[in-house]
Amino acid sequence: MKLLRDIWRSYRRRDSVATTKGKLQLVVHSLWLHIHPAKVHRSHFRLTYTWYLGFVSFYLFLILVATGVALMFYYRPTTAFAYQDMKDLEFAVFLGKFTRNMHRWGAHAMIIVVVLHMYRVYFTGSYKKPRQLNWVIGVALLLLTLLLSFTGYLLPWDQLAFWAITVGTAIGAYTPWLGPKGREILLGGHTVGDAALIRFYVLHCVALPTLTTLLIMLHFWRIRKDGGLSPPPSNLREFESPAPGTRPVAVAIPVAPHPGGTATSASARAVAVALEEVSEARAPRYAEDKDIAFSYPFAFYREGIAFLITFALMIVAAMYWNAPLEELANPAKTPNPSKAPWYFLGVQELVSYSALIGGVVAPALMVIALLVIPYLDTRDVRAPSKRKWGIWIFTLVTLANVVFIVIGTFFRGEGWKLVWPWASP
Amino acid sequence: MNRRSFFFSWAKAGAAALWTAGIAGTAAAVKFFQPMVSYEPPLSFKAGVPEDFPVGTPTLLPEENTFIVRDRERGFRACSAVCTHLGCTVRWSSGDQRFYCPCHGSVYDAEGKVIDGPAPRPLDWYEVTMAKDGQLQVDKHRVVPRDKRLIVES
Amino acid sequence: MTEHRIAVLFSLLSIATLGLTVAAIHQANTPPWKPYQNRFYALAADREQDDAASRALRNSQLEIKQILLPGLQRVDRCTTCHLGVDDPTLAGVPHPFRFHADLEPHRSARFGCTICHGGQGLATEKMAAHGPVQNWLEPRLPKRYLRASCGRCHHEGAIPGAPEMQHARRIVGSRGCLGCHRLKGFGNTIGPDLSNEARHERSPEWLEQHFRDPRSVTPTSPMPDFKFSQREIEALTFYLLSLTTQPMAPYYLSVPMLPTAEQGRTLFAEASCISCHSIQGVGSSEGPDLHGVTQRRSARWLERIGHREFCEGMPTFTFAPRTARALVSFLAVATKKDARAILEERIPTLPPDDALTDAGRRTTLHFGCVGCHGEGLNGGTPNPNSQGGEVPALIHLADDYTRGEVAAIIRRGKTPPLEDPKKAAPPLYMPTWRNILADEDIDRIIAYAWSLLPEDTEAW
Repeated sequence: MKLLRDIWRSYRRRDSVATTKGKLQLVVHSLWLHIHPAKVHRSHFRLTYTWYLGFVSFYLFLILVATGVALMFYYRPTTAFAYQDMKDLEFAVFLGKFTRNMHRWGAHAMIIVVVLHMYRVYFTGSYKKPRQLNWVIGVALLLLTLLLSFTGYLLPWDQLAFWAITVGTAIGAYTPWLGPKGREILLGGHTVGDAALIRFYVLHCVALPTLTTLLIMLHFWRIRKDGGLSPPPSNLREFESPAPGTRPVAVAIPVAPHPGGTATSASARAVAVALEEVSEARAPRYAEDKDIAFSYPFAFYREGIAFLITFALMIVAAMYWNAPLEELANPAKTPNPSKAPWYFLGVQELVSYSALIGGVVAPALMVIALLVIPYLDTRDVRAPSKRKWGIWIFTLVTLANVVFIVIGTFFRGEGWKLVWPWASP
Repeated sequence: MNRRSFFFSWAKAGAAALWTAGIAGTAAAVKFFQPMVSYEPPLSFKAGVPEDFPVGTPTLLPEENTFIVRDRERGFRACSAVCTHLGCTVRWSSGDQRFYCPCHGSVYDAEGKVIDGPAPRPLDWYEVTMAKDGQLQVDKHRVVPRDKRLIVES
Repeated sequence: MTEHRIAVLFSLLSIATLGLTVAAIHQANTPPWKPYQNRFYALAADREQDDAASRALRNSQLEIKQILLPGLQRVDRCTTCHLGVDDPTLAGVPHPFRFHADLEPHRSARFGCTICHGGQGLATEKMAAHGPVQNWLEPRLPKRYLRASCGRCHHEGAIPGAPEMQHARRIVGSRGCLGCHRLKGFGNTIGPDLSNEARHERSPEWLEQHFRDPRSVTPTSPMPDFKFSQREIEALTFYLLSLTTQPMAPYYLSVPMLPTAEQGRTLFAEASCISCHSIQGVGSSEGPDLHGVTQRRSARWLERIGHREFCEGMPTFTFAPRTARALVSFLAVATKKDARAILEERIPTLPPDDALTDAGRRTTLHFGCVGCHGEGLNGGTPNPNSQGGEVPALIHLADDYTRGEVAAIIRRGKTPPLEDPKKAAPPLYMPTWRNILADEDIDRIIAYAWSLLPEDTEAW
């Protein structure tokens, strides 16, 4: 009937995706998809280039938001009920244990994946001009990821949560001038109690996710504005970034002719012009136009595969590995040793050598170092083979962090003494 | 089949799988939000042994918002204490043998029928049975006619 | 990879994800309690004569069943599988559906299950509910020790069905546990606080072994070997398994919140108040006559009966607030008839000097001095690396110290001198008592210790 057709056409206003115009419109006219360019260079598809780590980080974030909101329906952030609600989720809610597991393993996975993503971006030199600010946004996102995990860690209100946050906030309090006051504001008091729990809950569920969402939006927007994903360094012998001072070259992205004739319609031309405007000034010239593919379906298939692999692995983890829940938080009973969450154990290891240097100065220096990388390293070279010093230093610092975390996790026992992990306690 | 249709059917299978997974996931999500346990007083509960209840005056069980009525020596009934107007708890007046609602002035007689006030319906009467351990079992899932009694042989 | 292969991979992954989604839903849909409920309803339906009722049972909805116990601060889901506990007709069926006999008056709707049995009430799977569960503080008690839970609510003297509790309380009083341990707010801090021992994830076997030989389970423990008999070990284990600081609604505690004068009278007699006080002239004249004291003094002041320095000259007693209120209830109505009756029940009073040393003896028992200094203050408790190797006996105190010096040591405490300064400090030490004992108590203790010196020592 005409009415049904009209209703349908008021929703679906693009051409069929069998046509070129339809493929472009699907991307450019969609709220959810238009962050993608209508067409993408095929080099971006290569698995071994980006390993799709950025996408996987984002998918994990989406999974965490979805499972997190679901958990909020059952969890009450007061010391009287928090632990009991965790037990209820495990035993008396349909898919409760599954959702909680997925949330916890997703959180751990996201920290690992964003660190790997940061390493990849460094390795391929993709932080260089004009992408310096996006790197800085990325560092901010890394810190937000760690803070999100830290604030969420307290919520189960078991011994693991309570003492990890007690230790973690104590390390932070070593910061000169701001430390003790900052800790007081974070905890709503001087000890970890009901005030801390509600503040951590609001930070974890409202404030930090909002900030993260806004920065993610900015991060993706910046990718487009900077000319799309940086080309893989191995392709760079074919083209280089525009030399400083010269006017950048615009790319002519071809628009396939409208099926039905050679005449391009006004909308197709408008799309072509819009695409040129968006990508001009920063995109390097691509040598061969045949390497350009439509986002739909070629990019979307690959993104879909990345999502499905992430999601499938998360389902398996949630089904077969249970997130820990120790005994109810007991301020009178300190476990020995008391350990911060694993991603802060490197810092805790350093703190055991020196509280100020290890707990405050070293992490601060690492963050500052990360932030200044794109402004210090102004050489116009991206190939890893030509940046050996930088890559060695970055790799070593990353590995040092991993080593300290491993030591802190497995090789530290009672009283923070060195023990063999296989020795019985 | 030729390569194009082989490709085609893979795509269809994948799309069908994704749609099915989506529907199954949505159904599972709906079930996630349905509570499996309740922290409210249960709708079917044990009220106590017959000897606990005096003859003549309805006894209010405040947590379950229910009156146990023993108007004859061996006959037990249970009626709702929730006013049918807007949900306040009614009170029994022995003087004039009526239920009064303090909120908007509804009045019910000893059988739960509305005598006065804005209440639209009479009070519900619930099924009373004898549980196996000798206590009265009230089931608020089941509304029964007002003259249905549990007769307890002493 | 060719585009074709990409598309195929995508489709395969979609199908795999569908499979995993279905698997996850299936996993959530088949919790372990459902088969138990199915078996129960089949069993109940088979036993049901009436066809309609039988069919209704077979079609029963499967759901988690729980008992909400806000007064006990717990939620018990045991009846999800243990569906027959309230049904006397199921007396002989196999577990877990069997009827729970002898439950009255502790009906399951008001008491649940875990307050007596222990275990994790929130759980709905067998291992998690029964244990042993890591990180769950209240392990399920074995049948032998089940009656230990009676002591959680029943704080009165003799508990019907659990004579071990009274036996244990006597042992605690006579062997001096309070000298090192805290129990319900009274005692000292050399050893750990035992007030919450039932919720420390300790198994009865561990506790028994600990009483048998403390160092076999805690190698660094300074607890002396009290050489308890097997019966004493069992009684003490019982007692410890009943100790919990978890608050309970008042209507669960068997000692009523409005303590009666009857209870007060029993306590008055047990604490031997008549040794110092009189009522309407009947009794001793050491302390004031107590007739009408509730009209002369405020209730708030009276509730501090027995506290340190409550009233000059009066020794310290460790009374719980309810105990004090019971005493006050009794004093409000006590007459010389009560005093006379209590006197007749007692063994005859000692002469004043002996009364003082007897009071001192009771004080050393009450506050646990004998726990370290041995029975009769004869010493013998090992204290590694202290000079002499043992906690000293106190029977020769009069030879070595003046009364003033002993009083100072009791108030301040004393770390024992080291045998070998390079080795670790001795684990046992004399703690400070000035916040716990009043001057009168210390005088009595000294009088007792002085009385222990053998009379017929030959002068050198």
